[in-house]
Amino acid sequence: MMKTMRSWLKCMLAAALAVAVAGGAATAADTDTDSLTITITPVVDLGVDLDTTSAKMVNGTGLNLPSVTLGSTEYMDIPAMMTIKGNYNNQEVKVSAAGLDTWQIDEDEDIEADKVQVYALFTLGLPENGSPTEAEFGSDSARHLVKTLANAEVAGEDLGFEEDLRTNNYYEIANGALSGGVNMDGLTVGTARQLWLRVDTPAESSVDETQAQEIQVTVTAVSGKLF
Amino acid sequence: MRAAHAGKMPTFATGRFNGRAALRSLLLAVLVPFCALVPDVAADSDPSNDSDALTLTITPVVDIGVDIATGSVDLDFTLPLGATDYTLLPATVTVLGNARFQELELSAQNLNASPSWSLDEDEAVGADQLQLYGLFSVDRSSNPLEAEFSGVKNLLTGTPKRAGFAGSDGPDGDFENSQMTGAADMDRMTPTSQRQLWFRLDTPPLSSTDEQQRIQIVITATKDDL
Repeated sequence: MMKTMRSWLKCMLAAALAVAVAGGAATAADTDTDSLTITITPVVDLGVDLDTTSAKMVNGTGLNLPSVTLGSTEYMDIPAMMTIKGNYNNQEVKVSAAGLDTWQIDEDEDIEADKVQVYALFTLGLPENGSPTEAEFGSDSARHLVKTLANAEVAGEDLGFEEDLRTNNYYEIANGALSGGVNMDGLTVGTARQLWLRVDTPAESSVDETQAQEIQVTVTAVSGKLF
Repeated sequence: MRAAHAGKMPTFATGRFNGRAALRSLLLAVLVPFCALVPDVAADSDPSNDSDALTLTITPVVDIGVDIATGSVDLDFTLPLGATDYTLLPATVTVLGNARFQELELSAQNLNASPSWSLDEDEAVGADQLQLYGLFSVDRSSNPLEAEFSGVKNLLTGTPKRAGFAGSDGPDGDFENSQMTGAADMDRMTPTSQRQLWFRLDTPPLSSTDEQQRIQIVITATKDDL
């Protein structure tokens, strides 16, 4: 009986304390100030433009290589110009390639029949004929090898990294090791970059000179925000 | 000589008339009763302490206050960049407390972590700068027009700004537009005064973020202190 009464008293004291605390909070309320909050979700526009008006392969007419031997390496001597469009000031670009005919895109640097290897590097201010070298395209553990859309990488550092080291960079050598090397992270609208390509034709082909092969390189703007 | 005369002066007692004594008696009879009615002025030797005073000092503890009711006002916007939008219904701002003359200070802040939009202060369009206008009215049935909002004085910024005129009275002060329908005077408002508060938002033309921005508008009641 005594135990029951003690429990009851404890409950009553706890309840009284709770009421007192609640009352204190109400008294402390300050009505001198009030506020409201507006939330705005920006609908931003991302964009990119590739200008190939002057772009040219060393042994080609523009981007058309009319006669290429198998197992050869071709370069641009005049780059394509890429410009960031839209109104979003934190963009990056995803680079992918696709074979529109028989030849497809190699994704592992293993030479295979009907597989073309496409490399890309972005620069700024390189003069005509100033293409990066074969070794520069192929450096950094083959991270400058362009893959299909399903496996495409974003130029610059991996998401979450923007330190420009050569440990996780794609399509950029921004740390001074490449003439014209440039940062590809967090690009603002109007930013222009040179895009250089290297193309290694397959050693063996199931199509001949009567069947020109089209290789499409696509640059897609994506948000550059860090997740 | 005098003694010789005294013996000769007539008195009533003697049956002889004494003129000088009669005159003296007459004067005494007339003047003595009047003298009894004259205040005894000479009895208050220190008039300076005849009066004193005390002063009660009362410091009123007044209560100032404000309440914002947003009710069914839609405050969630999904906007493209470079766009202008408005609150289609006003928030209702009510002056509370018991201080007779109050005014309101308005400020705004972005509650998002960096990087985020800032609040533009000069109406010059810039990247990541949101232009947020506020305008008070009474009995308007629709939001003010774009041009009615315009003016740096109606921009909400991080620095608290007094609605109406700070330090004086007058039309067309901050967050006021005396020319528009439903124009409201924001100076020296009394408790229970109500005003409609409308907002206009101009998103920046360029943005470094696509994340939702949360803009808090704070209204603080102040004494008018004219």
